[in-house]
Order: sequence, then C-alpha cells, then structure tokens
Amino acid sequence: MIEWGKAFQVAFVGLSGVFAGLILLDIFIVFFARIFRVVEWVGAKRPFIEHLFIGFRYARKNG
Amino acid sequence: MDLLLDMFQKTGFPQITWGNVLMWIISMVFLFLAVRKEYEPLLLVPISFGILLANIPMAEFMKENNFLWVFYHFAIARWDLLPPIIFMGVGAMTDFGPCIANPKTLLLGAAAQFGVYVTFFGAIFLGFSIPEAASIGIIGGADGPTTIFLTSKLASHLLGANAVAAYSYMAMVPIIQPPIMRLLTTKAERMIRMKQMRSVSRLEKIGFAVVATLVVCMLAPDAAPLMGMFMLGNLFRECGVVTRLSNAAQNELINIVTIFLAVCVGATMSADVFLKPQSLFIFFLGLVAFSFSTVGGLLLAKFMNLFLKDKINPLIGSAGVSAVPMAARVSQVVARADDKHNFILMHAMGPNVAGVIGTALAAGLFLNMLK
Repeated sequence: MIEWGKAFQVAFVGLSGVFAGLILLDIFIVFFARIFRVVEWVGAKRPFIEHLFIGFRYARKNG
Repeated sequence: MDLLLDMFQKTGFPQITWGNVLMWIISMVFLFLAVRKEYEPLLLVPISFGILLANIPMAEFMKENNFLWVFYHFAIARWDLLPPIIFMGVGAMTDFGPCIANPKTLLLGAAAQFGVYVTFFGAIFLGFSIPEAASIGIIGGADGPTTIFLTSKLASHLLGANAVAAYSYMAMVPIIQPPIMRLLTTKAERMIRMKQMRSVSRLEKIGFAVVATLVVCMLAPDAAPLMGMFMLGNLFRECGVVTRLSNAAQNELINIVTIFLAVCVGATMSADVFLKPQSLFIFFLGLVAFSFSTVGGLLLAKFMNLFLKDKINPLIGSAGVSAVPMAARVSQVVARADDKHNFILMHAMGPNVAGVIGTALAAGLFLNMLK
C-alpha cells in the first residue's frame, strides 16, 4: 500500500529544506560580502591608519 | 574426451544466457555513445566495460570477495567513500565567483530541484517504495556522485540503473533542455542582456567555502560527507597556498576514483538485476526528472523577473540542474541563437554551481527522513 501521506510530507519538507538552505546561504553571502568589503577597505587604508597611530605614539612620547 | 568435455563445462560458453547477450549489446551501445558520440566518455567507457565484465558467465567479478565486489562493497555500498572523494575533485574545479557575485541565482539552483520531487511522486505512482522513489527522483538533480551516494544508502539494488540513467541524461542535456527552454520563454526574454558581474575577492571565496559548509552540513547532516569534501576541494582551489593539493584533487585523485566508481557501477548491472521492467521505468522517470528540473529553474527565473529591476535572462534558470558546466553552456548556446552578442555563460554558472549544493541538500534531506 502506498503511503501518500508520508510521501507528501517527505516531498514538502525536502523541497522547503532545499529552498531554506539556499536562501540562508544567499543571506549569508550578502551579509559577509559587506563585512569583507569593510575588511578590504581597512586593508587598503592600512598604511594611512598605521601612519596615524605612529603619529599618536610620537605625540604621547614627546608630550 | 571426458576431460575435454569437463573442461568445456567449466568455461563460460555453456553458461551464456540471452540475458548476458542482451547486456553485452547494451554495453556496446554505451561504448558506442561514449566513443563515437563522445557522450560523457570519462564515465560511459568504464561503465560500459563494467557491464561487460559483470555479464561474463563464470567470471563472477561481483561475487563476494572477488575483485570488483571488494571495491563496490567497501568503497561504495558500505562506506560510501568514492562519491565524496569525487566531490572533492569537483569542488577543486568549481568557481563560486558567479554565485557569490549574484547570490539570488542560488534560488534558481533550488528551483531546479523541482524535477526531483515530481519524479519522486511519479516513481511512487509506478509502484516503487518511498526510499526507491527518492533514489530515482534524485536523478533530476543531474549529479552522478550524489545519485550514487543516495541510491547506495536507500535502494542499493537500483544503483546500476540509477547511475547509468543519471550519467546518460547528463550527457544528453544539450538535447533534452533546448526545446523546453524555447517552449517556455519568449524571444524577448531570451534576448535579455544581463549586467556584467562584479569581481569577487579571494577572501569572499574562502569565506563562502567555510560558511556554505557550516550552513549546509548543519541543515542536512547526512549530506555532510558530500558537502564537506566539496567545499574542502574548493578551499584548496581558492586559498591559493596549496596548489599541489588542488591539482591532485582535480586531476589524479578524481581520475583514479572515477575509474573504480564507474567500473563498479557498471558491474552492478548484471542481467538478472538489470533486465526488469523497473529499469525501463527508471530510464523513463530520469527523463521526466530532467525535464521538470529544467522547467522549475526557467519558471522561477520568469517569476523573479516580475519583481526585479535588473531583469535576469530566464535561460540561466535551466542551468540550475547541476550538470556542470554543460547546462550553463546550453543556456549560452540557446541565448546566442537569438542574439549573437549575448554572453550569459558566466551568469548561468551561478545557478549551475548552486544546483550542485541544492542536489546535495535534497539528498541529505531524503536521507534524514528515510534512512
């Protein structure tokens, strides 16, 4: 005897799960893409930021 | 004379059956398709020879403790080693850049699993049990290793037919998909040009490998061997500091494993197992699965266009079946038939690689519910 009820349950949960997984991945990609862009921006500005800190240290050391 | 007769009786010749002969013919047809037509030759050559070996009377390659049985039993049926290793190689060959640059294409990879579930019901309707139907349905994902992985766990007696159907239809994607693509899209839709994608940094690609592993493996732990190895291979490729490992995964390792996997799959197709009406049903259902997966991807792309400012070419939806990169190439060919200067190949690679993740997820969820 065919268990149609179970079959529908398996198909519904399966297809929803596939969509849920890939939507979640989509959200994470968008979220991390922003973070990575900030990280890369900071990386690109690193010499300038380091220069600022050196300036602060010099100022503190020499009053 | 008695000695000669006795010796003759111990050879394979008196044991030949019509089933064996028919399987030899089937083996030769696959060999012809592989050599002459170049349909997935890397797989169909060893598969066809495996079929030949399995149907030599008295040779008994698949008898317990014999040569191919050992590979099949330990590396596929019992421990499922080979499909995840192949996935590692595929991961090392995959560029997730298009998918990261345009993450909404992930949805097309999910929609292209529609055929998996339509076929699941079709198989149940034709009298297969639920686990058998799941293993047949996954053919619609157009992913050979995933089909083998799931079938060996849920319905190992269907392994040969399912794997051969999956690989045969994967080879026939350029024949199956274009008529459906033209039927479901207008010329104006096929001529939609998509914006050039942004470049994706190495950091993003490395991050994607880690995040995708965590998300998919936690959502469908049963798919973890496939996804874990897939993303490990991809990490080898993207991190840029283990070129030797990346090269090994995408060349030597995947080639060696493919030989044994394909020969063993072919060797499961002995006449007594394969020559049943259910094998014909599986081939028919495989075609249904591929067609509906194509339809699912196309229709979701059209539906998304109702809401998107920058329209997507619906042809990239059909690339959501994970036959990488064949399905994406088919999208490009169909698009160029209407507009010679329309290049959607890289856009189609997004849903194409998303389809690999989608199929692995679908297999993991089937296993979760039916194991």
